[in-house]
Amino acid sequence: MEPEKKADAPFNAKDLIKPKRFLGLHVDKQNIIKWFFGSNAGVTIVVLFLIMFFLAREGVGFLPTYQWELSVYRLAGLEFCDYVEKPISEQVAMHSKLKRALGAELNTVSKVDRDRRDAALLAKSRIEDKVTLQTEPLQEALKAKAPPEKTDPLRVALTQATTAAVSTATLPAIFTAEEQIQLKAELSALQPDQAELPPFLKSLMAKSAQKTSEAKLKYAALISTVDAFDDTAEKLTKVHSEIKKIALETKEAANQLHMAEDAKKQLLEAATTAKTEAEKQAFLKDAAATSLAAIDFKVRTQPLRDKLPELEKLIPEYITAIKKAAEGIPENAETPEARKLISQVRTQLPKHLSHVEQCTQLMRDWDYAKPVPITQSLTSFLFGGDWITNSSWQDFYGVVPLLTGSCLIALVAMLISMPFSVAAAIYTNQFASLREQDFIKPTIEFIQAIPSVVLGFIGISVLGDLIKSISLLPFLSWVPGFPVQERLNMFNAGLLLAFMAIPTMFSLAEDAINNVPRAFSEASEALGATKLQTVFKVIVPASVSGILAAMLLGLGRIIGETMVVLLVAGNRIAIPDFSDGIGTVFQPAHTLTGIIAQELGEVSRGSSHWQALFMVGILLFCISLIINFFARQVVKRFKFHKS
Amino acid sequence: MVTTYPIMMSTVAPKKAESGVATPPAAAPEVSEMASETSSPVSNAIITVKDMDFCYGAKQAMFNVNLNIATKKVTAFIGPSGCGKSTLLRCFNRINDRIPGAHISKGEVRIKGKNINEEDVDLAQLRRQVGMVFQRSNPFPKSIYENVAYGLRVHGESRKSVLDTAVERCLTHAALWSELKDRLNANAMGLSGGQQQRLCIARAIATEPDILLMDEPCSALDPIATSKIEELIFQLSNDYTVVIVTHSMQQARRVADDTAFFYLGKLIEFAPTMEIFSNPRQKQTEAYVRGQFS
Amino acid sequence: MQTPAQDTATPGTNPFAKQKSHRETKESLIKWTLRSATYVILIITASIFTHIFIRGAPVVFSLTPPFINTSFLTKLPETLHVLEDKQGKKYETTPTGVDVIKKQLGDNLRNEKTISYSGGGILGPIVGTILLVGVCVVVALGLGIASAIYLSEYAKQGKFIEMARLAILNLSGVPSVVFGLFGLGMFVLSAPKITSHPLDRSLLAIPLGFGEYISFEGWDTSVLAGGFTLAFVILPVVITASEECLKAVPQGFRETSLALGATKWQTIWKCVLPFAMPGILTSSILGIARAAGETAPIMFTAALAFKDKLPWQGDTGIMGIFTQSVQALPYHIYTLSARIPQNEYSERAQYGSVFVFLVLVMSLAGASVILRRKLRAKYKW
Repeated sequence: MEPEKKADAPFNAKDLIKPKRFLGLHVDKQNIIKWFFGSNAGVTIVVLFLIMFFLAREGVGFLPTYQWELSVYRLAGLEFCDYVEKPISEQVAMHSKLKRALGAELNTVSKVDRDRRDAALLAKSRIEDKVTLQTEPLQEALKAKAPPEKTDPLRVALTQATTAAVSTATLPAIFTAEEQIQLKAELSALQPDQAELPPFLKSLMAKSAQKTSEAKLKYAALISTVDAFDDTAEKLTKVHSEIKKIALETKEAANQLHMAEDAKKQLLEAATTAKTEAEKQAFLKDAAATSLAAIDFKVRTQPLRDKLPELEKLIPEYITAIKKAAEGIPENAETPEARKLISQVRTQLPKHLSHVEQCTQLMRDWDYAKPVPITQSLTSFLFGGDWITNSSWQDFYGVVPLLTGSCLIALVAMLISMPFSVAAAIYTNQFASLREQDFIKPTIEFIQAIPSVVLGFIGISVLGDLIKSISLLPFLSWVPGFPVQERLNMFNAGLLLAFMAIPTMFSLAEDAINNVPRAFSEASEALGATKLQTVFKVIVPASVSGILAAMLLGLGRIIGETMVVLLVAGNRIAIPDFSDGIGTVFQPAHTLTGIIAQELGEVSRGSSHWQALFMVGILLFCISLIINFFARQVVKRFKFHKS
Repeated sequence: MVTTYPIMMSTVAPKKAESGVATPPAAAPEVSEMASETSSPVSNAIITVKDMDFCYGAKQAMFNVNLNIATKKVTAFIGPSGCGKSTLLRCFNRINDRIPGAHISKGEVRIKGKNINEEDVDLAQLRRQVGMVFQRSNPFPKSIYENVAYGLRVHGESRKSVLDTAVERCLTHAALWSELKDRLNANAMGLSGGQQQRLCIARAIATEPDILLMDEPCSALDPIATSKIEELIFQLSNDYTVVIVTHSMQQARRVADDTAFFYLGKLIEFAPTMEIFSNPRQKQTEAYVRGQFS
Repeated sequence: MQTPAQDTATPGTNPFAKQKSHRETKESLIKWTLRSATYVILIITASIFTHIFIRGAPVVFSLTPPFINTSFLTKLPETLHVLEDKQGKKYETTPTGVDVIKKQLGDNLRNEKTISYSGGGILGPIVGTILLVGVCVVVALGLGIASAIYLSEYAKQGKFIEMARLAILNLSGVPSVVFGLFGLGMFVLSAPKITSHPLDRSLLAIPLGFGEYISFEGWDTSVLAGGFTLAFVILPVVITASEECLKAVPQGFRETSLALGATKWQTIWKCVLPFAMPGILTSSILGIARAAGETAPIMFTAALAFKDKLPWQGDTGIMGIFTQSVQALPYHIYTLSARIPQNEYSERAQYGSVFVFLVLVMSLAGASVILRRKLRAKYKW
């Protein structure tokens, strides 16, 4: 349009009217586009909400299933047996501690010589391993009673090989130089058909044996105490295993009945949907044939109750026996290890005794028919201390061991990652030059992209051995928990998780610091504060909420990480033994995430175990939501208003 | 208290008469319903606001506004900040629809006689004919050429020759052609503030609107750039109806044929510019133009 | 402390001289502590990369022509057999080669070792990972960007949308293994599928006529299920990031475009998306790198420890590629490091796979970092 034309018809209101409908429909194109995006968003949101639905669908069934299992546990009398089981296992644990203490004490006398013997034998077997190629033909020849002219070259070859192997072998420093030469000479001359050990080796063996018996003599009192301790529970254990057998049979019967009930239900269902009358009749017939003879738990558990008087008699006997045995435990021991173990036993003993006493009362009060409420399946899931699956006795799904594992690992990871990430964030934002920043930030962000399975692999292949060998360094022996027993442990996993969480924490903390208005630092520096004072008195306090939120989100990442803990944490399902203090972190553990990844692939769909794993998933989901919620609250509460 | 004054367009000598631009003859009024009791009919009014109340959600921002804006003239809206002048301007191309809860709660706005808030009004068509230039110059981060051609492209024009002519015409119109003709493919973000704003005007007139709305177009510019823009507005009023919101009374005085003064969401006075500044009828207007409040 | 009076009295002294105190040493000490903490992180990162590079690169590359060990990249994983003869010579071979060598050696065979998964190459896992990531990209970017456009451009900002947004934000913190559980429940066990024979466990079977049903019985463990699960792991991140990028485009652009008479869609297409796209792509690529590295979500939905065929080697046709389970690199690495004993023979496969995997994921992440730097300089308003 040219201006002149416009002047001709400036009032053409028809131009404003909407054009024809799109495709002749009463919707226009804009709305279709809007619906397209709207439906996409709808699908996304619906599916994301479905996450909760599917977790709940698979998980909620757990409560009634577990309730049923627990009620069978009670009805069949397994619970009754476990009342005795508990003190017995405590007694076993204490006994093993005493044995370890005894071992430590015996070592004071016998260890040096035994170590010398073992080292020599180890060197011998290593050299033998190296020369197997030469040994084997000689042995064959000897077996075949070959003439000396045939075996001699083989012997020469073997001796050559042995000498070569011996010359490269290094012997530990527990042998003096002279002894080493002697030992090497003896080892070089070894023949496979030798009847007796060479003299030096022989003397080592003899010395060790002599020292061992000396040690036994010296600690005879302790040995007899430990043996007495072992014997105390003998009778109790015997009765216990008897009643266990009965209870297990009852449980088996109950399970059979349950399966039969299910089968019948399915048959009846099939009958209602059957296509032909004949099929229907067949189904009904099968259903009728499924016997559902009820189990009389009262009768079945009677033998257990019959054993009660005997147990009542045995328990006081046991108590007196163990008290007597405990008297023999020495007040003091020579080695620190033994002292520690013995003091542990001493503190455990009163608790143990009270457990034993309680157990009589528990058994008396036990009622097979007492109903198990559904809340109990939830509480025993959340607060149960055992996660036992595929057990021939009874499966328990208590998350406490997993939760403690997850939390301890997270604690280690947080303690390591927090100082590093905050320090790095402060340094990068406040002190680093621009070029340094350009290099630090992308590098740290790059860590985020390292797949967790790769870090897990590093943990298995490198870090585990590294930690173990460091812990063997003598000058580090004061560190609690050193030397480390297990290559794969919570500390190893925590270290890797800390490394994984650093980029998240660093980036968010750095953002928070960056968001502090420049005016703050300018004002502070204008008052004569140094850079460092400004940073720690003005900038960090002003960004503390953001830093806190960063730490919380990092925690969320640590708790939710799966592959590293699955590969590196050691996967021992037990509540860690906290008696080691800080050293506890060098024990292996299992985690919430790890258990799902490890076990879900191997359980049958819909079983109680499957459902329990989904419940663990729900628990994780809730934990992550709570952490997220708190992070948001922290940010909101201390929200920083930019002027 | 609402008072509107008839626009005595032909009786009051335009203040820019010395520039030799004659007021174009009034086109035949096709609009039938635009006359209202409170505002005197203007024979060639292109925008008619009638008894309009405007709300942002529950908060009322404009009260019973009546106004007729004449074709091919420059009309200025003045008033202290928050008086609703921008709100009213943004009603004319319904860009206020973007703000959640903003709506006209009473009355109507007619452009070329059509109530623009009716169902069958196509927003794209409306905005094509009612162009707008914003307070902050906001060229797209594209080339100068693409910026100007944008409006035509979204209306389906893709012939190179047509676009080329239009770009040249608009840039010439905006007095930018000679400066920029050699770097049409340069990114528009690289221009100076004044150039950017003129580019925005060029972009707005590319779709050949009848009405050009300007929301404080010079507020972010230096005096030299401002004078250039003002010169441009003055040129544009040959071909377009220009409605300009400004907080500078001097600017209103320099460029506008008619001026409306708003205060607290109400139209206080609407009269030829000369009259508003030399002989205001309302006390508030007088106080404002004397600079007694802002 | 100097007083001003003294200053004026001795004009030669510098009034702004540093005050000597041990505060200065303390300050530099703290600064160096912070600095060393930062560099410890960098050094650890560098040493991890170097370690994997030194151990892994020789598996894939060689110093002699053709410089690339193609068999590692083009063969499927297989069991490694190590035979030793009585002279101490060792033969590493494939399952098919075992019999040949055994025949050759005859009585001379001393012992035989088998190491699972450690022979051959890693073509199967590479292909599987690419397929999974492919499905994930299509689903996550398609749904994610479309949802973000709806949320930021179209949706009326009300309570419901705010809640949905909050839910999405919260889901980005949910552990990936939980997404794995969800994928198992949703895609493996109950997603809709067109079939002529619905399974018994199908939740709902809707007949379509002509003998076919839409059956909610799931896709079984398959590329499709795994890819969708991965997509939903990163979807919250993609949506949140994309929405942020869309929000970052100045409102003025939209208003101007609308004021020029563009329709809503034209405005989004021409004036919003072009400027938001760089940011969206950057964060999406980072999300994809994350998805490619995830193991837990595909453990129960797609991955398989061992498979002797490539996805297309079978009689199931093109669609069959997506409806079967595959090997995937992260899961392969998990299998190699957790399920078989560590020894000199397994190391080659372990470090080789880790190296290739790391290179794949890191090149994605690196691309996004470079892209962001370039675009940040280019698009500024």
